[in-house]
Amino acid sequence: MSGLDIAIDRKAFPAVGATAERLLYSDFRLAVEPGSFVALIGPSGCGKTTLLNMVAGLDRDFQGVVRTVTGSGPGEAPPSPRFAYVFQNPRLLPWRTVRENVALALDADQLVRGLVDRFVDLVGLTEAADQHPERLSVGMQRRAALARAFATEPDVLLMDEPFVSLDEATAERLRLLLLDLLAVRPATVLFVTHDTRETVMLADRLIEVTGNPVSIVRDVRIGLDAAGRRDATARAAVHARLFSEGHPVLVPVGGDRPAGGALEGRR
Amino acid sequence: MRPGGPTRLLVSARDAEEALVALAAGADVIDLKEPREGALGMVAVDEIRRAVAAVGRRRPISATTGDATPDDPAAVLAAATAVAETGVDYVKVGLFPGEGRRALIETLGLGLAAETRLVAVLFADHGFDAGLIPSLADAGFHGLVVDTAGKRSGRLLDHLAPDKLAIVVAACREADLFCGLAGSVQLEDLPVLAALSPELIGVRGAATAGPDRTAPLDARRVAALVAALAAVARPHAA
Repeated sequence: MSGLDIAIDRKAFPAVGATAERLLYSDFRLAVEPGSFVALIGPSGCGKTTLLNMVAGLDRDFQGVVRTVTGSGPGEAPPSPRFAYVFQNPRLLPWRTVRENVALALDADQLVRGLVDRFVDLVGLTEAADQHPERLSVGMQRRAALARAFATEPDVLLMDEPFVSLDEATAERLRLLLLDLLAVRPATVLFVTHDTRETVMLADRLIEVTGNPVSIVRDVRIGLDAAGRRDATARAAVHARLFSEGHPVLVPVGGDRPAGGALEGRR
Repeated sequence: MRPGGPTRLLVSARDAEEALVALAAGADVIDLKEPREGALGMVAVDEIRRAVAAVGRRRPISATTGDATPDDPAAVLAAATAVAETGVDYVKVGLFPGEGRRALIETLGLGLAAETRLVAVLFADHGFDAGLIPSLADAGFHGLVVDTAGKRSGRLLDHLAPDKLAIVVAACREADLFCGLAGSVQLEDLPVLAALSPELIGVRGAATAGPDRTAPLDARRVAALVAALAAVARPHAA
C-alpha cells in the first residue's frame, strides 16, 4: 500500500490577456497515510482537480514533488504505484460492452487472473456484462466505472466528485458499494467532494481548504468504523459535530500520523 | 476523428511522395512533419500543398507547425495560420511548456478555431499537464495528441504508464476531444496502446526503412503497422 507525501512549492496559472496570474498553490504540504481515505472539501474552482492531476503525474508543470511512501507491514508499496481515477462522468466507451470497458486498462496478467469478471460481479453487473453502456441506467454506468477503476488494482485511487448529480438514493447505493469494494481491495483514496454527508460516511480524514492559494483550514479525523459508516444515526452525530455552527477549526489530527505530517501546509 | 470512435493509425510523412507511400500502405491519417527539424518540424507550405493535392481527399491530412515556444505566440499563430491555409484537415500545434501556454491556447482558438480543426500536442517528457484539456475544449480544439519532445528520451510508455494514459484518454473523452498517442511508438507497443482506445496512434520511426525517424518511410513497415493495429483494435465502423 502506498501513501502520499505531497509538497507543492508553487503552481500558478499564468496571466491570460487581461486576467492576472492566479497562484493556485504555494508551499502546500499534505501527507496521506497508506490505506487511508482522505476527503478534500473546498470552494469550486480553487484547484482541487489540479491537485489530483499533480498527484497522478498528469500535471508536471509545477514546482514541488509528490512522493509515494511505503506503509509498514505486509502489502508494502510496489516501486511504481498504480493510479486509477474516477471522474464525475463514467466515461465508458459506447461501442464496447461493460466487460470490455472494465478490461480496458488491464495488463495481461490481470486479465488471466479473471479480474474483469470478478469486479463486474462485485459491482452487481453480471447480468449486464455484455450490454453496451447506453443500455444501462446512470447508476449502472457509475458501477461500471468503479469496476474499471478497481480492476486495475490501484495503489492510489483518485476520485473527483464521482457521485455528483445523481439522485440521493442512487448516490447512497454507490457510496455503500465503494465501501464494499475498498473492504475487498484496499487502496489509498484521495476524494474531492462538496458533500459533507458523503465525507462523514466515506472518509477517515477531512481536509477542508480555501483557495488563492489553496491552504488547509481544517484537518480532522472522522473516525467512524465500518458499522458506523453504515449507521445513519452515528453519521448524523458526527456530521453535527463537524459541520454545525462553531465547529472546531484546525483540530489537530494527532495520533499515528507520520512525521512531517499533514498540518505543515497551514499558514 | 470522432471522440469515442475507433483507433486509427496516423503516419508521419515529410513530403508528398512519402504521403503517397503512407496512403498506399493503408495509413488512416497522413501527418506532414519534417523529422529532421525537431519534435514537430514543419514541412514547407508549398510541399504541404503538393501533398494535399496528391492525396486528394482520400485520407485526412494533418500537418505540424514547428517547435516555436508559447512565449512567442505571434510566431506560433503565424505558422499555424500558414499551415491552415494549405487546406489540410487538421493543424497540429505543439504546446511546449512556458508561461504563455494558456494564453497561446486562447490565441489559437480565437484566431483559428473557426478556420480549421486545431489539434494540440502535449509532451509526455516535457511539461505535460492534463489540466489543460478542459481549456483546449473551451478554446475550440478538436483533439489532443500526447507525444514526446525528445525523440531520444525513450518511448511514450517510458514517460506515461498505461494507467496514466488511460486517464488522459478518458479526460479527453469527457471534454469531447479526440485523443492521439504518439512518441517513438513501436510495433510491439500497439496492443498496449490500442487497448486504451485512443482515436489515433501516431508513428514515424517504426515506419521507416532505417534505424530512426529521419530515414525514408517504408511501405512494408507501414503495412505491417496497419495490420498489427487491425488485429488488436476495433474494426472501423462502416
